Amino acid sequence: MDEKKERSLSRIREELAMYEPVVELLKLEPGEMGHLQLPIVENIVEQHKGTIECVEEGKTFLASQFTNPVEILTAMDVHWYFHIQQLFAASGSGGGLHTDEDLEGADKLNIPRDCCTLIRLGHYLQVAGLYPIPTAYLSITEPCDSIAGWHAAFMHHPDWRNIPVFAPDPPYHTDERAIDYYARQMREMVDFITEHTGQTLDMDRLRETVEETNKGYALWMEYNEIRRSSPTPHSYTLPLSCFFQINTLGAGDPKKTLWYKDIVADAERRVKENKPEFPNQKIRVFWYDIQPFYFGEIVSWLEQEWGGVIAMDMVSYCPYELIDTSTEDSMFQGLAKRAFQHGPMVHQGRGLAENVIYDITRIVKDYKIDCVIFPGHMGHKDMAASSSIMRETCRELGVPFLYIGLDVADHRYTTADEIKDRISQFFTAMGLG
Amino acid sequence: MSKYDEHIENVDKYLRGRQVREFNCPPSVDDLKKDLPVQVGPRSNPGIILRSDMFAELGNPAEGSSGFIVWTEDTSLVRDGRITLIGPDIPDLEGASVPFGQVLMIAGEKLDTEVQERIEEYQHISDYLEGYMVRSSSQSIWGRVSKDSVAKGFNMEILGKALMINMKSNVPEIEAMEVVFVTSNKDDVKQLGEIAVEVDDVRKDIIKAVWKERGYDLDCDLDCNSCESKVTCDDIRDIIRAQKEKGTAEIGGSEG
Repeated sequence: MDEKKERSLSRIREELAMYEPVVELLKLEPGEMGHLQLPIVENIVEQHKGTIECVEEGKTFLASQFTNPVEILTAMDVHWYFHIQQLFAASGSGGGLHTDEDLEGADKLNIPRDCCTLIRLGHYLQVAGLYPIPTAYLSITEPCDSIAGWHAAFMHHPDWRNIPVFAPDPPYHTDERAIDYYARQMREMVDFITEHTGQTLDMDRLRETVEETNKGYALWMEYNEIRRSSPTPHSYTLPLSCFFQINTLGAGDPKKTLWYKDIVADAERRVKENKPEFPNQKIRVFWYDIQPFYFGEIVSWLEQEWGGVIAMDMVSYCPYELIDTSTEDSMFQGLAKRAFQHGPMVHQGRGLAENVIYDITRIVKDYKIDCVIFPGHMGHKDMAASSSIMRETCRELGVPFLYIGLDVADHRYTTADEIKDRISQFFTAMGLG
Repeated sequence: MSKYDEHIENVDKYLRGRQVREFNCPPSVDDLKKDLPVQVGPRSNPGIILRSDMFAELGNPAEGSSGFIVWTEDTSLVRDGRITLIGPDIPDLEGASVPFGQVLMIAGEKLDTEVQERIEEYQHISDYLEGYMVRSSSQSIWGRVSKDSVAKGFNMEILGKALMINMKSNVPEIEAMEVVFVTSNKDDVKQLGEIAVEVDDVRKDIIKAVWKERGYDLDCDLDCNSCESKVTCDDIRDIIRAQKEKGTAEIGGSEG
């Protein structure tokens, strides 16, 4: 294998080396939560092994983005890796080995500093040759303007400019015409994949896959309802894994549905027995944005220092609908809605701003929220534009609101200590602690 | 004439010719609270009903759900305290998952567009009623009733009363309130959904206008005719048209 290909796999190999022993450890010593944590880690390991195999053996594979329907990829039996996941992983999620190296590399790219750091890192990983180069790429052009810009810049890199790319064009509105338009795009995506991988779509296999992911989504929504319980059953790791488990490789695999069954069963048991994973909960927080790479540090501190619990978060609260599998059209329409309307950041960031008012109002009441924290990631200009609407809504509901202003990827922008300090001052001032 | 008067009339038309059961409740909140078999008020339930504790499910998306609120300044259009039920009542639904429709009609001479968001807050009963939960992550009304509450006497009349208590206690401008529930079949709920779509258009316009008054734009003006980039888009369309005529244009959003 040439040096370039080897480098493109280097971070994946590092992650694999880190996670494989974790799998073994969890099998040997599962503890109370091991049966729920093991499938998450195994999923990452399987995904990485598949990507390595494709690159090493010259097999066809895709790179894809978080909005594209995974059900189609599973039903077409094509290997793929999730581009943004790769970004988080390669950059050292949780503050890994390469965080500072990558951030400094991104700084040297001459991209304006006010551009979203996730996007700047994305470019850096490309320039540094750290993305495996796929047979074809399924891109993304929503929810924000920066992503549309990223797509254009990304496809001009010499290593990628000859990679066939399909970039779905999301409409602004959400009416029937818009759904039909995007459903047609999804059909074109199928044709595109066939053209470049030779894999075809079997509609019965798609139906089977969608029916299985429907079960997963239904259980995830059930789990979200259980989080309304006070105390809430789990700490932050499991709720955040719900999105990734269903949107990564193996979507439609009954093994994944089983994971959702287990997480719901564990949450129900904890509610009945009043045995939350994290006890002594005092402050119920709604975290209204994606989570920083260094979230583990902040949430552990929040729980230990203040008894604060993330009762609901933006990645979890999405208006997913189960897809009607009765006809081909209904399936593609359902996949289209899931792709361009329902996903995290998409539902909130692309609008309408009315979603912000509705979500905050429902969540504050239903989840007995004591305060809303809007981290205000510097890249989320779309959401920053709604921050006054958030504040106004919270004021009307009588719930305290904190706008931090941070960078989810760059701890140098606002350090974890500064964030903790802001939260502490806020809790104290509002009499929550 | 109020913005929703036409829709209130449409609900009346919808009810005509259907087999209904009617319950007449007292107008005052104090009287509504008398002799209730379950608790009504903030924190009356812990927020959730687990699957194992569920007696019946209302409005699962697989069955169908439709819910909306309409309001008017004309108090003669709303029969205060009236609850109308089309279909079976809760005690007859053990273990069942049925389609669900919920219409709240509200009247008060002092009602205006500013009230829209406040009344919407109270249509999802949240933790206000013992033994009843509306799921949070669904955009439609998808409810659960607990076994314990049914054993105590919970039924649609109690749900209607709880909605009236919740609404009248929190929105003092309300002078009259009427409730319609549908549990009969998918078709009945679907027909109600046709009114709901029209109501939702009016609702969205009201909310946008209210926030506009406060200085916030919830929507963008994306009308092509008023967009300053129209000339550019027109040029691109011309180029694509010319390419298509030459047979060189690529499909959809694909490149490369």
